[in-house]
Amino acid sequence: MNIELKSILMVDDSPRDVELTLNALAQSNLANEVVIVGDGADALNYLYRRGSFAARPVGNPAVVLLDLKMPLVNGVEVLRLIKSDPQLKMIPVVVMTSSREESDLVTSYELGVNAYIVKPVNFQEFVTAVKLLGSFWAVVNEPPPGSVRAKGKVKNEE
Amino acid sequence: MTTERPKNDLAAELTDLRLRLAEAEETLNAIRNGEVDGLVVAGTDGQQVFTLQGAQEPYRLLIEQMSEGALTLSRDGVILYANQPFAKMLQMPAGRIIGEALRDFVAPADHPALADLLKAALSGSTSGDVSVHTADGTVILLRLGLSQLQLGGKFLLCAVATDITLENKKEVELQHLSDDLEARIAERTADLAASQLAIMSMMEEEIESRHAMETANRNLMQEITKRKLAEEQIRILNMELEQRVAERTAQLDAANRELEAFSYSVSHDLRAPLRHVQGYVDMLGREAEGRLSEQGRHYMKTIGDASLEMGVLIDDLLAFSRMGRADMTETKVNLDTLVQDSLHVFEPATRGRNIVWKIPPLPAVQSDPAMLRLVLDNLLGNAVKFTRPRDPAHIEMGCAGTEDGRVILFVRDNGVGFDPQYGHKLFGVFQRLHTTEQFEGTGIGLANVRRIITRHGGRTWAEGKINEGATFYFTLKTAQ
Repeated sequence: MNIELKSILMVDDSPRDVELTLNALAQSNLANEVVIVGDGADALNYLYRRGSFAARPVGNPAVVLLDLKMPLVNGVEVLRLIKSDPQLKMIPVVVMTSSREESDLVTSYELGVNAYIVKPVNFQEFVTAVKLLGSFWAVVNEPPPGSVRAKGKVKNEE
Repeated sequence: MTTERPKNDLAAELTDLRLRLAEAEETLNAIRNGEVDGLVVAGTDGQQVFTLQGAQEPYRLLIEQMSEGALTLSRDGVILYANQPFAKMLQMPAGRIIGEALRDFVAPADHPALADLLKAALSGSTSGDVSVHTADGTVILLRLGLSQLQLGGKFLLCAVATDITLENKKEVELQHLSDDLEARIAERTADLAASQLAIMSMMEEEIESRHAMETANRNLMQEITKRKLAEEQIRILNMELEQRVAERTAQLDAANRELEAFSYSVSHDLRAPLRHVQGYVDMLGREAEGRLSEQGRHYMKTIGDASLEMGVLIDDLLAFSRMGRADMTETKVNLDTLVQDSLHVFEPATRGRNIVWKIPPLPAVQSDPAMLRLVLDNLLGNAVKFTRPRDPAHIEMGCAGTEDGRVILFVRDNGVGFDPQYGHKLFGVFQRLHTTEQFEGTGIGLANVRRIITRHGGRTWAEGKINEGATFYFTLKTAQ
């Protein structure tokens, strides 16, 4: 199966949240740039190119949108594993969660999260936030070497 | 016929007479001297012999020379003979005494006694004391010893009289002295007895009071022991009480935390679905754009608004529960600066409105600055909100004295006020006294205020009348 390299990895266990986020991303024309996994385990599989994603092309996403409250391996665990692996730790991770728990914030930043977004209840606000996120991380920001830029191009040393 | 007698005859008669006189004198002398025991007298009847009483001379001498008085009395008390000493006692010549009744010399007061004596003497020897008047009027006391005397066939009485006046005086004196002494002894004895009694009763009292003291001491010791026991009990009870208080406090704390955690997680869990509702309504709206009727769009909008409100409610609830769980750091807070910061936020809301602010310099307080800021935001925000119908609106803040060492602060407005009947509900969670149509709000704000002030150890209350404004009070510790 030919899996395209996408620049955004979204890790979220709620299909509704996924749909909403995609809808928001679509409004920024970034819907096609998203790979969606439903739990932490699959997130790691994708990042390590193992399991069902063993055959995916090499290359890191430009940003990981990570939900925290998830079954199996939860978001904090994924974050910890990403940020402690030399191969993955430079991948920007944006936590997107409904939790404004102080403890989650502290732990996430201690683990080296790059941004922490609390999903607003107001959808319009959410759309705005996602637009900003998407355009920043996937377009404006210089992704780390070895990661996929938007539009499916892998950024090499140029 | 007068015959001249011859001188010779006369001379012879004279000599004869002289001779006879001399003889007579001699005889008398002899008699007086006790040399004559008897007389022979030639009388008309022949010769008569008279024996002189007291013939025996030595006995006469004895009688006359003894110191006592001696009397011979007839049975009815006539003095037949009295010796010289007796006469001397009475200071009268014996001639005056003899032949008189003894009674005549005795003091009238002693006549009965004398009579008794004389009567008694007739049946045996007797003696008694009588007072006798002497010639110069002095009274002497004589002790008479009487006995019977048979003399020449006659039963007479003889009496011996001893002057015991002096003796008697002495006796009387002695008796007086003795009486006196006895009296004094009696007195002294009585005194002694009395003092003895007194001493005894004092001793008794002393013993009693000693006993009383001992009893009191014992009681005191008992009391002290009881008191100590009681104190110990109290101490133990106190400890137990403190322990229970600590336990209860811990329980309450735990319950509070559970509640806060619960309300947090509940509201947190509610946000996700709410977000979804919002999101899908939005997407639906865009999706169905143009294809929805006016009514349809109205329904869509209502769903959206309702979910927005719910969102605000949940956020408020989240904030409220977070307030209870957040750590509080008390520090010296400049209230004036905090108020200014808060007012700054209201500037957009107050633009175009006529609000008269009256805020004098306020004291510095000891509190968590962020939490206190929330309090001010809420109270001042409410004042701004509920004075919207007023022109001008008057909003005042200041101090209203102290309570329990804390300063009482207030925010007062001339807004729509509230019904004091429901004043107690004001600070309840989700309690509102106005509908959302009248004034927006979720009713969490004041509950938050109360929560924060309570955590600072202060008190919140409110006063108001419908349409006559409201005053909200809260107390805080002042900072040094």
